[in-house]
Amino acid sequence: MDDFEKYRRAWNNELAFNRATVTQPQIRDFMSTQSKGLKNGYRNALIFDMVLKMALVFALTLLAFWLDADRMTNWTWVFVALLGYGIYHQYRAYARIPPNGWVTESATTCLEGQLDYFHHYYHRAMLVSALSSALVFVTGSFYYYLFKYQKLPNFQVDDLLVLILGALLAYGVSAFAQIMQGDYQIKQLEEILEELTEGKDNRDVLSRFRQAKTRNILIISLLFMAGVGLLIFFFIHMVAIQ
Amino acid sequence: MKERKRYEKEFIERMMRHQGILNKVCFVYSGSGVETDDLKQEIILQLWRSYPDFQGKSAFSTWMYRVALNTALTYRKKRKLNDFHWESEQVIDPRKFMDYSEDVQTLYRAIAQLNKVEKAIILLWLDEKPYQEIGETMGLSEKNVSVKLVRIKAKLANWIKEYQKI
Repeated sequence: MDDFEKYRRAWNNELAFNRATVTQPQIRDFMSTQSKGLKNGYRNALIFDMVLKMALVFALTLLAFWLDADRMTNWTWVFVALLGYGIYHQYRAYARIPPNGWVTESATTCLEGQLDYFHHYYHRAMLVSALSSALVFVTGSFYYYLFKYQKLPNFQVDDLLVLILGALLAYGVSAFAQIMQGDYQIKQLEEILEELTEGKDNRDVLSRFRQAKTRNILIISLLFMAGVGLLIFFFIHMVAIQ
Repeated sequence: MKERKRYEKEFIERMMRHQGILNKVCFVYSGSGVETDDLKQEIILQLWRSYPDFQGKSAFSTWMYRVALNTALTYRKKRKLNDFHWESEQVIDPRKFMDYSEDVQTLYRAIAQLNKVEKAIILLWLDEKPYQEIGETMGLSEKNVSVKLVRIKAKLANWIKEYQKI
């Protein structure tokens, strides 16, 4: 251990540590930069998604008036309602992002707080966010038809299948990419918490995270089934009115 | 406006006075100059954003260590497609040490092998913080800190011995 004291002394006598490595103007610049952390990236993604959803609400409302009493009008209102829910959900997730003051807490509290939040909101927020990609595809397709034919054509079964598959693909790819990116970073936070609480009784914390994970899987499955149900209903409805 | 300027000035002066903490945390948590600069920037930003929460109940250096370590622990670069290194693997750029004494270089090489939590604990210990303060910063009991420190020191001693053989 004496040997180790030698290194501690060397550490404390190291002049290079006390050298000024940032200047006052640099500190001033850093104070106004954007954080590169997970939380800030996630916050920006939520803001971007809310803005995109609002733009889609506007585009679909315009489309509903344009289509005026067309068979698709009711569907555009369904999409607007879905987007309305999406904006509300993202706003709630945004408002509950852990405050900045958490970095002044102990490392355990800081990590637990961040993980609690991400386990509750992250997956759901990314699933709701992916809805924008699917609806950008559907809205874009409707506008394309309107500009080309001045009305929505009578969809054949295969046209509807392409539309539904395109929307599903846009949804799936977007949800998968966003969830994978976030999961990688969340998993790393979990690993740090496990390293920190190793040897400490952390059953409560871990069981809380496991419960949140199970709840998320349940909600995702229910949402998935509801989405597929809605698409089947859309398909049957469209085929029936041809 | 005047108050804000005074507040900013006070913060910058404190940063200048306590650059040692910033340098040590970045030294331990990053492998290259670019990483050090990125982390330094992130820590200063988090310190500035949390500065309104600093009420002077503890020493500024204690508070600064806490924010800096929490930032370093949770700070993640986005994974790049061409990044083949494991997250836990700290790639060491030899240019980083050129100005440091031989003992500090040896110690750094050993510390680089520790996980993020162990690095935080040994950093606080090296800076002669009492067990109680290390515990409060990390959210651990004093007993837990002492157990972890014994294990960390044993690991470091082993690695240092290995380097000395080379």
